[in-house]
Parts: sequence; structure tokens; C-alpha cells
Amino acid sequence: MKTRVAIMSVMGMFLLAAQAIAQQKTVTGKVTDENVSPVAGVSVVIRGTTTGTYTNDAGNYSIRVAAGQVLQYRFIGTLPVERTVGADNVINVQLRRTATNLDAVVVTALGQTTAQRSLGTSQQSVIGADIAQTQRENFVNSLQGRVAGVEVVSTSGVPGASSSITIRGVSSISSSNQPLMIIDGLPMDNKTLNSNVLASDAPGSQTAFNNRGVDFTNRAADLNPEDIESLVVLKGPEASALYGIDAANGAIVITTKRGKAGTGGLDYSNSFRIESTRARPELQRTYSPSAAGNSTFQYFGAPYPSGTAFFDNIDGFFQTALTQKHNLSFSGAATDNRINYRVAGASTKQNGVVPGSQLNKINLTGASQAQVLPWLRADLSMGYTYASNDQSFKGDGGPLIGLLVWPQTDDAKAYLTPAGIRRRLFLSAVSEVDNPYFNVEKNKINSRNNHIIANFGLVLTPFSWGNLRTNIGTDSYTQQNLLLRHPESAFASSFNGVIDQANDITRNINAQTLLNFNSRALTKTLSISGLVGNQISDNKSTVDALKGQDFLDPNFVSVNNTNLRTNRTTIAQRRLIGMFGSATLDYRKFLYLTATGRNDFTSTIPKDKNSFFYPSLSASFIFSDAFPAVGRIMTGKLRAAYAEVGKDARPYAYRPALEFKTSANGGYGYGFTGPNLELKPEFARSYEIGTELSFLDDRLGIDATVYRKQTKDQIVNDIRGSYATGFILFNLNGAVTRNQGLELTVRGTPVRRSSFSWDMLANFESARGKVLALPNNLPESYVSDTWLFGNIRNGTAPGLSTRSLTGTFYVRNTQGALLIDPTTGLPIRSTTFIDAGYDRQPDYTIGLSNTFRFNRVSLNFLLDIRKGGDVFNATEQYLTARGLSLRTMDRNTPRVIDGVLRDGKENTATPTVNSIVVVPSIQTSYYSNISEELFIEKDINWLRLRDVTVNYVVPERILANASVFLTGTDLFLFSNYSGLDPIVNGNSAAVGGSGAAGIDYGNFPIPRGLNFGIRMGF
Amino acid sequence: MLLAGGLTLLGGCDKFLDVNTNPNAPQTVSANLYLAPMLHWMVTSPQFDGRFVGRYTQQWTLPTTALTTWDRMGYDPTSDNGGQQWRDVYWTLGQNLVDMNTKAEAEQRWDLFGVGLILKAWGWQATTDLHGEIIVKEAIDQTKFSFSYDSQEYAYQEVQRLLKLAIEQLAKTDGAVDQAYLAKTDKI
Repeated sequence: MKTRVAIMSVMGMFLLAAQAIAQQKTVTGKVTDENVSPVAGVSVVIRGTTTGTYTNDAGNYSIRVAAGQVLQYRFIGTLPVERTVGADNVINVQLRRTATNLDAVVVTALGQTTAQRSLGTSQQSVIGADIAQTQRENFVNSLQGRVAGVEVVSTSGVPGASSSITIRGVSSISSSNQPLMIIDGLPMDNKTLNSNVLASDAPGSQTAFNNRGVDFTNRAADLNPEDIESLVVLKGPEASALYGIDAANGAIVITTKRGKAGTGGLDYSNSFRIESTRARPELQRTYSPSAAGNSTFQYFGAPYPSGTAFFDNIDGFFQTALTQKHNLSFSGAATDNRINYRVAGASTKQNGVVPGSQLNKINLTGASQAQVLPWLRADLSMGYTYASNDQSFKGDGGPLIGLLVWPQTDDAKAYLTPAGIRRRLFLSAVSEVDNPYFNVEKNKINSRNNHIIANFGLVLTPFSWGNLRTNIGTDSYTQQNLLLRHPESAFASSFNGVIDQANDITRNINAQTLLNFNSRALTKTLSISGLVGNQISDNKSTVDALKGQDFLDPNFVSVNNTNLRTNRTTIAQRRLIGMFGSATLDYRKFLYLTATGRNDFTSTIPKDKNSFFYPSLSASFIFSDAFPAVGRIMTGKLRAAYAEVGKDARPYAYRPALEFKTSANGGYGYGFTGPNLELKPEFARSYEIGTELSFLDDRLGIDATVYRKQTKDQIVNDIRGSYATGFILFNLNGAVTRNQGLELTVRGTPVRRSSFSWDMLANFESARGKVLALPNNLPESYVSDTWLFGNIRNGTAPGLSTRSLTGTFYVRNTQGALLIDPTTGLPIRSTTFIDAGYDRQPDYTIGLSNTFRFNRVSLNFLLDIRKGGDVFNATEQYLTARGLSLRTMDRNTPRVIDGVLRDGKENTATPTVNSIVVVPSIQTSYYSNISEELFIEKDINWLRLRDVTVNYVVPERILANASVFLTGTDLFLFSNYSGLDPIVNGNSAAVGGSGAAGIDYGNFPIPRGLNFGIRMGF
Repeated sequence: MLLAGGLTLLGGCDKFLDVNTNPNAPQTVSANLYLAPMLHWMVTSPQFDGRFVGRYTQQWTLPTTALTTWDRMGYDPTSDNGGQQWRDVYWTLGQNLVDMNTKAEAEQRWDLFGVGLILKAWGWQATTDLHGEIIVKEAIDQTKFSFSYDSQEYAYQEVQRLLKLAIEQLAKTDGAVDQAYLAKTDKI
């Protein structure tokens, strides 16, 4: 039976092929938009086949086709057009761009394209040109405000800083909340290296970073924004259900550019940027340093004598940074359109405002598609990226902290003594914070990355009822990291220098096969289409790390130069098999019902539970088509979707391994984390309801979605258990979190004339994430890396936000009055970590973008507005505790803190009201023991000009196909935040859960930049 | 064709997915290799806690005149001060000692088993001396997340029982008793 089917299908192919070759002729034509300007890159495909071509820059195309066949003209964001080939050899087509039109072609899960009308789930597209136009090296940073529901947090403002991206808020307490990245159909690794693989971070090590103070680029940033054709954000598990467990937090589906032109074309563009730092903190210049205590500089000394000379160390430190970027691409297609190609190269040289910080990047990409046989189309793409990134340390002991506390009476620029060693003022080598100049000059974080993404795809159409699409690809990189803490630096003088090297060799192999079934009529009004497929992934990362301590020559950077060396290997491997299917019922093109199912098999869950199935169901109803009376005034769609999605654990989570113990005489012992052989996958259940409406001939469009997602049996990593278990931490199922929110996108075209047009787009998001339960009724869960300053961390508990903060805040009596310590007159801090109602989740965010086109000039800007959400200004607390903050200027004023004494009567009807007078300048614990609470700035709002671009198309008579542009990034920020920049992360994007986003400690702000450049086509 | 492919895949699925044995470190080792870290901390832990206990048992004074949290019947919040012995018995010994004893007994390494039992007895003794009522009966159980404490009296009885058992083991010379094996990591 099987053989017969095979023979028949092979014969079928030949028949089809023979028929196709029969009476072909060449059809040419021009595709234009409603302004009669040519549209490049329109896909022209013979319906029911994969044979096709694209229009060139002049909008022209040429294709071999037989009479009677139907040509489909598709372009993202426009209505698809179909023309039957008749006697004419020229077919000109006019496309209509649409704002919300339901027939616009959109990319969905698995890289399929479909009409917007059939989608029952929420997704939003961004075209590549909009991303590239922002001139950001890390394309992730250009998404904030462009898609409702997407939140981007960049770790800091230095080149190569990691950025984390979350869609619809934080739902996982300890694991990653970032979406799956898909590039040309296959998953792309967006890892930010976790410092826990360094030899310095081995268990029990004294030199651990714990993701504090160090940062590495998130690897998706290796992608050149100029190579992105389009990007689609699948917001919830409903839209991304087919991608399975890695897409539980949504997915970002990227399509890269392919050769489009009918003839060869060379495009060149460049961009030059000047960046400067936006803000600097104010420091007091009244009180001199006191050598009190043995920690870093403190300023509780006598007032400076009048006439003291001050140095402006801060202003002199930051530099004006120059960046240049050059892009060259060469693309085209063979005359018979059977082959297209695009090769592109880009070079980026970015300098940061912090001296010594830089990013050098080279991108090389090549992509080619070929119609090998009438029923076989091949697509091969490869991308190579080399990135070398130098970052400065941040946070505790980083150059910003050093810069702020360095005595202003001393010129910090002279950071070496005449003998060439670190110049210190009056504290010991360990206690005295590094001079910032010394810090950026002598301490290093360098990361070099060689990244290859290769993707080989075949589309087979041997049968008329569908096609088989198969892709295999690799996303592999070698990341060489070198972290140097100089022997003379305060970081490492007690170890006489620490050098870390870690080479991360990551290779991810992914294969995916889809069998698509074309739409087939069941009855006159009902048709069905669908697909089945499988996906296999094998992800492996091997990190070989070594550490050297005790330098011989303090300035020779090599492990070979150290006396004490340790090494460590960390291997992590995960394999995944997924099988999935989807079917869509289409009733009269106005009611669609899609059901999907996926079964995943993962290597990281115990065998008996490692296979799990989850379904999704979505419906789309075009009520404006169902009721023509409504359709005359508007178009409208209602959609509803429900999805379940499972999620596995990290590798090796359920059975602990022994650790080599560095205590006397070696030996093995268990680490902190205990076994959990009962570990099972977590499940999220999510539903969303939405509508897409458009009015006034598509000039006003609204897309609204409400969603609610509940995760049960959530796996919480490294949550505390009782010591009596024999272990300290566990990976447990049992957390329940709930996320809900509203997303609203409004698009409008207030003016549409041939010489002037105005388009606007507003994205609104309001989201809430709440913890409903923790495993075993444990009182608190936190990610320990976030405990980076004082006694505050990202702790959460049932009833609290997923982005709450807990700390040893002040304790109060039953009346809510502060309890005062009778021995000191100062408020008493809790001895345990408690909640005090802090939440880093914004109330809402708005991204507002406007585009004006006036003849040859266009202006586009994006405003990013945020309301609410708390930010912890740790830098300010640090400066206060050291007497540098302006808020310590009244240090000599005696005061009595409002509150009641904790004398046993605090909760009675007559508590003793505090009357103890404190003078902070005498009792400096007034500042040094102050609770973090007073530095959590509540309800931080901002209005930020994310980017603004002016583009001018050069008249043809001067230069053909050329335009010049001016782009400003982060030009202004209005905020009620008192620190430098409320977009911060105290850790990096590597840390899971809510991480340390919103904890601002010694972090460099995002600089403002001005780009100018030219785009030319030949 | 696809079905056949799918079936082949399913057959090989188990093997393909079987990559979750941690390659970075062993999950179980020869019984004697557990011993050294436990002995190290057996010596070190009492000294750590001694920094705080010594103020009362040895009348140590502090350079400052301020009362410490300990003087006020408290403890140092957000710090491990004074918790080392507890950590030692339940974590450093903890499951490691259970695994070592189980293996040693099964392999008839009576000498190592005897040492293990003495360690266990020492742990309960030293910990109950410091902390009074402690968790003995329910200790080292990863399926529980709350535990009942046992009386000090019971803890001392358990110490006696363990020591008697240990002496019996150490007297044995049959089985796999091997001084060299034991001495590999027994530096005491």
C-alpha cells in the first residue's frame, strides 16, 4: 500500500511538472501603491505553487506562467491581489496599503502567512525598516513602544549591554520570562551569559559575581537590524501555541531579507552617531571626607575651608562617543526568476560614553532561494557575526560609584602614582573604592563572539493539495569572555588580582518539518485547511572556564601570569521533540475556527512525566462581513482564544549532582539544591478576547485585547526548604501566578494626500502579574542574585505582584506608627524580609508613534510613556549613607523621628511617643542604617523620546535612489525619578523571574545619541 | 512516509531524550569520598559559632561597649552568624552522611560505617548542646517541608545508641574493612 502511494505521488509530480512546462509565457508588469509609486519586494506567486518572484526597486516583475493560472500579489500590510493570466503579457497591479484591513497578509506561527481575518489570536507586526531606522545596535531596544504589551529593559547604557524583553508581564517567579525568538522558521538562541558558569562563581568561591556588576550581550543582538525584513510578535500562548514549551511567554518571529530585485542591485547605507550622557547626579560640596570606619570614603568630616578648589571629576569622565556603521548589500534575482540572492555585510564600530567601553561588530549574511524544480523550492541562508565587546563593571565597586564618591578635592584623572601603580588617597587597598579612571583602564570585561546561524529549507509541492516544508538549521556560537580584576584594584587586591576566562561553546540544532494542507471545500460554505508537523531541537552549551589569582606581573593579562589557578566545566544540554497539528475551519470567510494541539517530549523532566500534550482553540468572527449593514460603515472582527501550554525545567534540575569540595583534603558533597524526583512540567492556561475594528475607509483602526493567564504547578528554582531536609534549596512545582491585562492599539491616518500624509500609531498596555501560591506554602521566594544592595531583593509571596520587592523594612505598631529603638532613637528595621507594598510593575505604558510625510521629507518619532511602577534608587542610598547626597545637608539639625518607642507598650492604647533627639552628623547610623524603603521611589512616570528620524529623499537629478537621514535616540526624558535613568537592571538579562529590573545601583544611564547617514541604491 | 518517520522517531525518542544525567559532576561516588568535607567542617564549624558562643561560655568581651543582638536574646538578622553548626549537621553531613553510611553498610565497610555513625552521633550531640531541642527523628527527608522537633533527652539517647552501634562496627574485622580505603580521605 505504502509503495503504491509513493509511486503514485512520484508520478503525480512528473505529471504536474510536465503540465507546468506546457504552455508557459513571460508575463511582466509593474506594482504600484495608491500613490502610483512603485512598490519593491512584492511577492508574485502562481497560486497553488511555490513558483514566484518579487518586484524590483522600480516595482517591476517578470515571471514565467501559463495562461489560465492565477498570480497572487502579496505584500505585508497590503491587501492581496489575484489576477488570472489571460492573453495579455503585461499585468499591472495597484496595491492598497491598509492600516487594519482584515485581508492584509500577515506572518503567523511557524512562518506561515495568512490573512489577518482568519486569526483568532493577538499578534502585532513591525516592519524591518522601522527597526533599522532607529539605528540601534541591539534590535530588541527598538521594540519598546512599537508593540503593545512588549516591555524592554536594557541593563545599562554601555555598548553591548544586554536587554531583556517580556511580553505581557512577568509570570515566572524564577525562570526566564523572555519570549522565544524565531528566525526564518527556526528558534534562535537569545541567551545572556549567566555569570554562574565562571570559575569565579564556583560554589563556595570568594570571588563570585552572581550576575552583579557584570553583563554580557544577549545573543539575539548579533542580528544586524538591516537584515530584518519583518518582525511579528505573537503575544500570548494562544498565538504561539504551535511553538510549544519555549513559547509559553510568547514568541518573536523574524523574517530576514531575501533578494527581491528583478535585476541586481547594490545598496549602501551608513550611519554616524554622536552620543553623550544625559544626566549627572548632584553631590554636596560642603562637608569634607572623614576617614571614619574602614569602608569607602565617607563625608561626615568638617566643612571644607572656604576657597577649597574642587575638580569636576564627573563631567571630565564621560566622553562624547562616536559610532559608525556601514551596510552594504547586494541582491537580485536571475532573469528567469528561478534564483534570487542577497549578500550583505555590515561593520559597526561603537564607542561608549564610558571610556574604554566599545562594541565592534561585523555581520555577513547570505541568502538565496531557488526554484530547483517546479515542485521543489530551496532556501538557504547563513549569517555570521563577529562581535567584540568591552564593557565596564557596574554596581558595587563599578566606575560610576567610584566616580561619585571620589573626593571632589582630588583630581581623579591622575589615577597612577609616579611609580605607575594605583594611586590611593587615604584608605586601604581593599576599602578605598577604585578611582574610576583606574577602574575603566585596568579592570576589563571583554567578550568576543563568533556566531553562525545557518538555515536550509526545502518546500516540496509534489501534490496539489498542499506542500511539505522542511527546515534544518544551526545556531551556534563561541563566546570567549575575559574578566580581569586588576591586582591593585579594590575588587581583587586581597587576591592579588583575579582573571576569569570562560569560553562558551553553544551549538543548537533545530529541525522542523511541516505538512501543509491547502484549503479544501467541505461544503459550499465551509472549507478546511491545516498542517501537521514536528520539531526536534538539541541545544548544548559547554563552558570551559578558568580562573587565575595572584598575579606576578600586575599588568600582564594572562592566566599564565598567575600563581593559583582553578578551572571548571559547565555543560548544559537539553533535547526536545515536539509534534503538532493545526486545523482551521473557514465558514464563508467570516467565521474561522482554529484548533491546535502539540505534544512535547523534553529531556529535563523525569521520564514518566516528560511527555505532555496541550491544545489551543481560537475563533475569529468578521461581523462586518456577516452583517453587510454593519460592513457599510466599518469593518470589524471579534476574536477569542484559549490555550494551554506546558513548560519544562532547566537541565539536571530534578536530581542533584555532587560537588567537588574545596575544603581540606578534597572529597565530594552535595550542593545546596536537593532532589525532586517528582518534578513535573508546569502548565499555563490562558485566554484572550479581542476585537479589531476599522472605520472611515481604514483610516482609523482599533485593536483591543484582554487576556488572562494562570500558571499552575509552576516550577520555582532554588526556593528555600528547611535545613532539616538535608538541603537548602529545591526546585519545586507548586507556584501559581496569574497575569491579566489589556492591550490597545489605535492606528490612524488623519491626513492622506499625495503630497502630505500623517500616520499615527498608539500602543497601550496595562498588565498585572500576581502570585497566588508558592510551593509548600513557603512564605517567600526570591532570586538571590537580586539581593545586590543592602537588604532588599525581588522577593514575592502569595498575594503580591510578581514584581514586588521585599526587604528588612521598618516595623510599625498596630496603629501604623514607626517603632523607635529606645537605645538609639532610630527606627527599628524588621529582622526578616517583609513586604511593604512595593511593586515595580507599571500601571500602564503607551508607545506613541507619528509619521509625517511631506513630499520628499518624512518625520517619524516614537514617544514612550510610562505611568507608575516603583524604582529603587540604590545609588542615592549609597550616597546618603556616605554623606554625599544633598539630602544629608541638614545633618547638623537635631530632630526627633516620628514614632513610638518599642518599650513593651507600643501596641497598647498609650504607647510612649518618641522624644529622643538625634543629630545625624554625630550619629551617622541615622544614614548608614537607613532602610531601603526610603529610597524606593513610588510610581515613577516617564515621557521619553525613544527615537526621532527625519528622512529626505534626494532628488533624482542630484543622486538617484538616495536619501539622507538624521535620527535621534533617547533625546529627552522627563521623569519624576530622581536618579539618572529609571530603565535599569541591577543584574543582567541572564537572571530569571522579575530579576533586578528597577534596582538602580551604580548603573550607567542610556546616553542620548544623534545619528546621521545616507542610504544609496545603485 | 511521514507516519513511518514519526514512528521511527518515537522508538528512538527515549534514547534521544536521555541526556539529563549531569555531566558536570557525579551523582554518586565511592563511600569514602564523602568523608573529608564532613571531617573538615566537623572541626571548623564549632569555631565559627564559637565567635558568638565564646562571649558567654568563655567571657570574651567585645571591643565595643554596645550591646549586641545576642546580648538581647536575639540573633543577627540576614546573616549566617551562629548558624554554622546547624548548617553543618543538616547540610554538610546531611544527605552525604546518609549516603555514605548506606553505602558503607551495604558494602560491609564496617570501619567506615563506624566512623559514619560516630559522626552522626557527634552531630546530634554538638547541635543539641547548642540549640536544645532539635530535629532528629524526621531529619534528612526531602519529601517534608515542616518538621517536628525532638527533646534534648531524646537526642542524647540517640547519641548513645549510635555510639554503641559504632563501637560494634569498629570492632569488626570481617567484610570489606580496609584501612587504606578509609585512610584515603580520613585525615583524623
